[in-house]
Amino acid sequence: MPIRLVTASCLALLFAAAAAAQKSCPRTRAERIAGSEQYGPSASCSGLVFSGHGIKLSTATGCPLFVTLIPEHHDVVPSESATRVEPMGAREGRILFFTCQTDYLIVIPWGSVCVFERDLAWGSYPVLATLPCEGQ
Amino acid sequence: MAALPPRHEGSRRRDAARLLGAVALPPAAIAAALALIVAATPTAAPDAPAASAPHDAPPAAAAAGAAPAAPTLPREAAPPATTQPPAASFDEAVAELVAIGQRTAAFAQDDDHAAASASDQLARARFAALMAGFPDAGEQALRRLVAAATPLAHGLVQGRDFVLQLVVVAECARRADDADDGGARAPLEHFVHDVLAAMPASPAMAAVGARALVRQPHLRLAHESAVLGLVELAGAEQFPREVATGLLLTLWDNLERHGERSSDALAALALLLLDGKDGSQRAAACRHLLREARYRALVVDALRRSADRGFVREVASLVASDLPVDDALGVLADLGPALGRAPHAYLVCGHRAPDAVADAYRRLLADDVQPERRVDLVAGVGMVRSPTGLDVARTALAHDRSPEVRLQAVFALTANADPETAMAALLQAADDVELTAARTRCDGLVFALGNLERQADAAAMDRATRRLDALSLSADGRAKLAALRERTVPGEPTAAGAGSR
Repeated sequence: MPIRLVTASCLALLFAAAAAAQKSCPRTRAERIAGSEQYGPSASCSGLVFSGHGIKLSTATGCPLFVTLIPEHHDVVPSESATRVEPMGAREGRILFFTCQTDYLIVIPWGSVCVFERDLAWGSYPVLATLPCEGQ
Repeated sequence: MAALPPRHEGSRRRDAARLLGAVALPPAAIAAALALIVAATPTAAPDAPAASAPHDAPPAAAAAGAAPAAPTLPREAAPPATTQPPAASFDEAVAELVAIGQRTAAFAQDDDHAAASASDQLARARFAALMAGFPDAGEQALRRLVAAATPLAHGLVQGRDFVLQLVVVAECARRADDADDGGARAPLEHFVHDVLAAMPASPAMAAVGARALVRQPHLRLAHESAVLGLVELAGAEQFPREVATGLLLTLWDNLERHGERSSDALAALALLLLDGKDGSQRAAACRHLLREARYRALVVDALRRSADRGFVREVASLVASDLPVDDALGVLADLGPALGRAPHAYLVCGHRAPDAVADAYRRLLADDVQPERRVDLVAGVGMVRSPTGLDVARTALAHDRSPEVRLQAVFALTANADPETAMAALLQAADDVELTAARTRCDGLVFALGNLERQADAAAMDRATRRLDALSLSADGRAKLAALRERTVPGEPTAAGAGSR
């Protein structure tokens, strides 16, 4: 095979591969979403003091029926660079339920306390890495 | 602080009845208490035993006999306080109420419900007497709350603080009633000013004020500058922002309701604040405008353009808790990508009206559109412990084409279904090729299995952990699964062993 033909073929292959890589690169990146906690509707009660899951929750008065915990995680967003995202794992979102216990719930809740009832996993949030597209 | 002039006894007795209603008592209980209040108001029939009562019943029970709901008490349950003279000072009256409360607690702890109920009725009567006996009860309570070094600091409501809070709330209601009956409005306005002025003293005082004023009819035009002052403090992070937003929204609602500002004027003000820098004002403006269909598109558009997703989420939470649920779901749908995932807002909607959230999900499922929103809808209704939530979760697991939605259904079922149903759902998901194609979803199944840790038996946990261990988990997911297995399957391989299989 003539050397020029081999060279041309190699170049053609190289450009084709590069073009394919360019075309398949999604140009996305992982954007960090900070963890958050949000309080649900509140029942008339004494305040909440809770420690657990590495956080402290408190309200001066009123007992939130639930508190949702969203962990730090990532979203996929468009990127100006030739990058893509790769899933690395997941973190769990949790929901904590509370209830207002009164010592003597007759008419006036004279002594009431907002107590932890149960907590549950209620969602999976991705942990992503941003990687350069191959061949870029 | 302003003090009310003394009033005649008929007015006091009527006030006592109203105040108990103002402290959010159940209607049936209020009916039962009215007879007691009349009997126990000091000037009418001081605390001497009722002569007409049966000899084996306490005075309170005798009075309560007039009301069908009142309990019949055994002799030994007679609250001793009925024979004591009225308290001489405000502090003594508060202390007496606390003591009655403690006695009530003791009765309740001994499961003596009749005695606890009677003691509680006495507390209600004494509370009414306190309010009738001290025309400036609100001011006195407010002074004591502000002076307390760390009121409510321990999270538990201490008896004294609780009584003082009740007095503040009841004082607002008493003066509002007087104003509504044609009396002067100034006493109420002065007291509300005092409450607003006390609120920055501490987060606990902010909460006391919020309880008395937020979503109540007392804030009016006269308080606008004070409320805006608190909003300003919130902007400087010196006052709880959610309380400031609540006060501002309450003020606007009241101004509109009482014709002190027209709907158009308030909307114009809200529109001005929509692009402001203060978070409380912007959030209040958004929520106010979103109530009206004619402004909804405008606000949604402004929120869509906002780069601050946290703020959009804050407004979404306000919308979810304040607007009618169908309207709230509409706004959440319109916000779309600007909101992103918002399971909390949907959970609030699901808590308020699970059927509305279920219907919204079923519509999207039928059209097979908006899979991300379907995830949040299933989370919103599925995590609420209700037959509707379980039904939606089963439907989603069986019929939804989105693997993310099916995973969310597994979370709901492991949270609220019986252990057998939940475990079957989890194993079904583990066999779902599409669902398990993504490592993050495989990890999600491990999280969901954790919900069954305390319910499922060891054999079921053994089977499930082995099945999930065969999936493509992340290192963290595998470690979590191994730890779960270690806790629930006695004598089985530890984290390292499970991870190496």
